[in-house]
Amino acid sequence: MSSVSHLIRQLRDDRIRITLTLLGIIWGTVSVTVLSALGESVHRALLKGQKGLGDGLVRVAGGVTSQPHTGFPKGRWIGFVRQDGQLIRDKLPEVELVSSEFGSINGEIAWNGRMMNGGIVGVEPAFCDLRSCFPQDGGRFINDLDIREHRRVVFLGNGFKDRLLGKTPAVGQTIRIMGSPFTVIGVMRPKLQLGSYYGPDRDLIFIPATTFENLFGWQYVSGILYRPGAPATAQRTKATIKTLLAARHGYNPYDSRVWNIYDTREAEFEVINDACIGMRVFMFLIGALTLIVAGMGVANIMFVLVQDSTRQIGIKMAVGAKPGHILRQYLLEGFALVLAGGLLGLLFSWVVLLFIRQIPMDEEGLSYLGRPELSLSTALIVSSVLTLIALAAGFFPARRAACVDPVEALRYE
Amino acid sequence: MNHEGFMVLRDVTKVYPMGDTEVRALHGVDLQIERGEFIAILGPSGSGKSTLMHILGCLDSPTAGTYHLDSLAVQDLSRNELAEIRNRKIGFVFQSFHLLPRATAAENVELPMVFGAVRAAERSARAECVLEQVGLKHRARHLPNELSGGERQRVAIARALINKPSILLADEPTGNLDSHSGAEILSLFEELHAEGRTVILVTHDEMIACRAHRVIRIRDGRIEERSSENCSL
Repeated sequence: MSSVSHLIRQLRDDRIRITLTLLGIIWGTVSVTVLSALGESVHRALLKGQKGLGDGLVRVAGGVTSQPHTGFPKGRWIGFVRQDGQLIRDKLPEVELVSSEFGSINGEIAWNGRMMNGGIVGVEPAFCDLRSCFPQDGGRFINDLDIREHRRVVFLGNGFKDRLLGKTPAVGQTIRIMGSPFTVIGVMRPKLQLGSYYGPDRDLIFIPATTFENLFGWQYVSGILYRPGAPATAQRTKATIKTLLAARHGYNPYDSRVWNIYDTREAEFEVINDACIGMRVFMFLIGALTLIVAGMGVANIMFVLVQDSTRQIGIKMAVGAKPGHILRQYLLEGFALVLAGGLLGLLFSWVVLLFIRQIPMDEEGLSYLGRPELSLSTALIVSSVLTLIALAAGFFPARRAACVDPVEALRYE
Repeated sequence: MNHEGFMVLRDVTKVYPMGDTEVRALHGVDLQIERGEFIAILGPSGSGKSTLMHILGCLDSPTAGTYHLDSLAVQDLSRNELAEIRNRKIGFVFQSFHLLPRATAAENVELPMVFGAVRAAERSARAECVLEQVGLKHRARHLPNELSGGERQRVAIARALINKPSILLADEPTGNLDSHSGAEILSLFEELHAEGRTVILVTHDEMIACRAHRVIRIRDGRIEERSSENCSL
């Protein structure tokens, strides 16, 4: 009789006990799979959210000197201007994108008799890619012509648009910003944004930097945003920009209080990555512990099966079974139990994850769950854990079975 | 020392530890069995006859003394080597049949071949053939609990014969059978002996022992031998 047919008969005869053990393995597999998938999904969502502030973005802003320099006393305000951005563009071709940023100013914005306050930011065209502020269909972001001609056009954050215009199509509408008419050229596509400094982009409105200068009379930019080229040269680029701006504005390039820099790759990427890895390990361990408990259930039932089958083991040994034959049979049975439970568990996990993906993720909190999927890496990790548990759960009962004394086993009642 | 016989036991002792004490099941047993003999080991309950059968059948090893089976020193063999001998040279028939309850008659008969690495197709064919030999071909697909006592014992005999062993060891083979079935089983053993096998019957029943050609009487772990010609029954 083969081990498979023996197992099938065993399944039939010990239905309740084996069903409960299978449920344990299924539950353990679902726990480790769903938790791992959620960990992976949250990690992806957070990285995406981090890109919402800017994909590889560096923001440089001026400050107050803390050291005297070339005859100037300390405590001098150093502000960067829009031309500094141009200088970076010209001198450092390896820098992919540069945009000056003014703002934000909290101003009165009106449309069709409706009035509300909103943050107004002046930006240049590269801001669109730098901050992932992509327009919805039918719209566009601020372009070079808008900058050159100081156009009165505005790009709306999607949240602000919903509050001001409701469901009315925005593109082509005229809104008043602090009394001046501006034509809406686009609305931002919804995005996940992890960090901000003027508030989330969805609640802001964006106008051309040159228009902002005219309208509000600002001389200095609030910051210069840029994306360095290859990550390997990012540090060198940063140092060159530092030297370039220090020479242009007459301050010590090593005066750290002037140089206010915010590098998303350094600041948040590492933190998010470390936190997410920690979270994923934690979630995996919770799931794996559940699975180990289920594995103990399998070991337990295998011990019971060995105990119940003692006389049969004796019979098999009497007709010529070697210890290896008995060991193999019980290892296979334990393995088959874990494998069946694991496969059912993976199938059930897939259904659970499918269900989670159907939940509307409009709420900001929920959006950080992302879209959990049963990835190949998760399936491989779960399969490896299952295999280890199956071997451990089957081995000890199988070894006990193989060590049975045939004479004692034949006498066993 | 002479090891020329087929099965030779010299000064065999078997001691079982029982907690702090020891039970001596066999005391210095000397026994020689030739190939093709039909022997009965006769003794009352607790005399050591089953222990002797277990040692003769390589299910157990002596505590002291030597046992040579077909010139092989059994006491020196590993568990795997003993299993191989049980599989190829010895067929067991037990009083309580010892069939696998979840396996059909045919699957029970095939069992020794599974451990002898015989292919599935050949296993089925040989099992069918041996079941026919014991008159149970029509019951091949039945589970043991669907068979009568006599039929179960014939399945057990078929299983014992399947690997064509040279030795057939039977421990009280008619103990759980009615007199009619018992007589049939004993006739079957006589036929198998007539085919050239060494048959060893372990029994406490003098009448059954008298069917053998030689009776070995055992009492308190010691052997008193007499031949069946002197049988008084």
